Amino acid sequence: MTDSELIRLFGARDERAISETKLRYGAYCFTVAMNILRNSEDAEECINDALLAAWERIPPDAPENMQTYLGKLTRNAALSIWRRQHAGKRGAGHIGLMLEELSDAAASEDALDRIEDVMTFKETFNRFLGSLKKEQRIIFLRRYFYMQDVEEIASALGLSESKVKVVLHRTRKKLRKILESEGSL
Amino acid sequence: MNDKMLDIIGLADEKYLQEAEIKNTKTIKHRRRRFSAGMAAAVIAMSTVTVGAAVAYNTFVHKESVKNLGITEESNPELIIGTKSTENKHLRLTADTVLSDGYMVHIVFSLEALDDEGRAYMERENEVPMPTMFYSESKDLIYNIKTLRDDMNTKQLQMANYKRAISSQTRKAQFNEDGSFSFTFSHFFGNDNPEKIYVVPEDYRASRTNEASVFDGMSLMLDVSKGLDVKEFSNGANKLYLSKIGITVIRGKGGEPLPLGNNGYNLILKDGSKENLLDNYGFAQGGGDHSFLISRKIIDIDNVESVFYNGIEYKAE
Repeated sequence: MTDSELIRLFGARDERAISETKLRYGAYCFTVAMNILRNSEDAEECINDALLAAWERIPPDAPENMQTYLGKLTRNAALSIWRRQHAGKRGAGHIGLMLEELSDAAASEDALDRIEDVMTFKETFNRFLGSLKKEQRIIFLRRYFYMQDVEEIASALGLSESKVKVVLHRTRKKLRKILESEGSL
Repeated sequence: MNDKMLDIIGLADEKYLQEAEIKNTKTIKHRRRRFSAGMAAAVIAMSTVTVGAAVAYNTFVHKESVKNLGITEESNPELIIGTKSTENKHLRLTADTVLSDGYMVHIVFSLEALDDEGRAYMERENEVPMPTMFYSESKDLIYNIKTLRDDMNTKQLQMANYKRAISSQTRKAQFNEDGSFSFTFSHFFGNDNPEKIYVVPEDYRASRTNEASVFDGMSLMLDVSKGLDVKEFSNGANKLYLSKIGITVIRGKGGEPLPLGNNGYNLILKDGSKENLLDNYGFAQGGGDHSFLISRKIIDIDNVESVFYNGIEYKAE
């Protein structure tokens, strides 16, 4: 079933939209969820949350690329579950390590705490992404959006792990510079 | 570390995300959890008023639909229909159907409101009970359920995998004509092979807010000893077990990961036709020495000639 057929089913409030979407993209969403949750039952729960979100948003949403759209919903759902599970216990596990890495990109904890609406960063952040070389951008997003391990990224892109780490380090520095220069953080 | 950076990164344009998209590489790891010094296993299954259940809710989830499958208590003594229930002043929970093949169990429950608080719970959007299942390693009850529950901390409670109705629209569709609400509960036991389980319905919202659970005091003991026939298949090296409710594959450690592709689980029927179990699957897990798939539709095992699992044919023994 094509993306446009799926969207048509969502539009018609036809429940097959859910089953067909799960059949077509369930494995992909599972991969995205597992990168964050590392737990198959939680990942299953997360996929259901993401599909529920899709059911509630389409329409009016009409995603051009269903896989990317669902990947985003799945990431959001997985982070919600992760936050629920780790409330008051920041710093634990692989996401904790990732946040430590990302501290290079943020001016301070206080600055982050003062942010009330992250949406105000959308334009700046995408300008930053647009300023990166393609390979740099892919590595950055695979690590911090899709939350892949450095090892997985290196293997998928045919690079050494140290190369991936260096690129990530430089990209984080660049992000911090842009956020600081624009007074965002 | 403040995690708002993760939200900022989540604002990436879809064109960039598409460029960086990952492939489906994760396998599902089989997990078993133990606690209380190994004396009891609290295994939390998935309740499944789920997106998955929506695939086939018209064939399995509803009490009336189960009857419409043509299964009767007389011809299928493994079924328990309407004989096990637990209630408090707010709600009554009944196990309408229990299907067990020794490896996995599939239960259809009905929930009925007995007072306004119970009705309010049932009308609350996207809220269904979160069944928590306990069984003992000695195949019989060894723990007082209250003691066991007191041993559980919040994290362990959260291990319970709740599932929600996918929307208000479909949730309404899962109400029975008599006003009760049906949902299913599936769990894989593997080789633990318990005879009895305790099911404790959890009020997920209350477990997060420390409010009193609307299910307070309710629990249900069910006989889950093997009742269904199991047909054995083999590929020469590994065994595969097929029953009315699903497939169990025992492969030894380090076997192939759970197949997630569209052709992962195919039944070849006696007339030569093919049936893809993923069209009706409820829950699948694997990656260790077992993998399994629980079906949302009853499998006619007598009509199955062979099974293709992960592209490998398993023939009847």
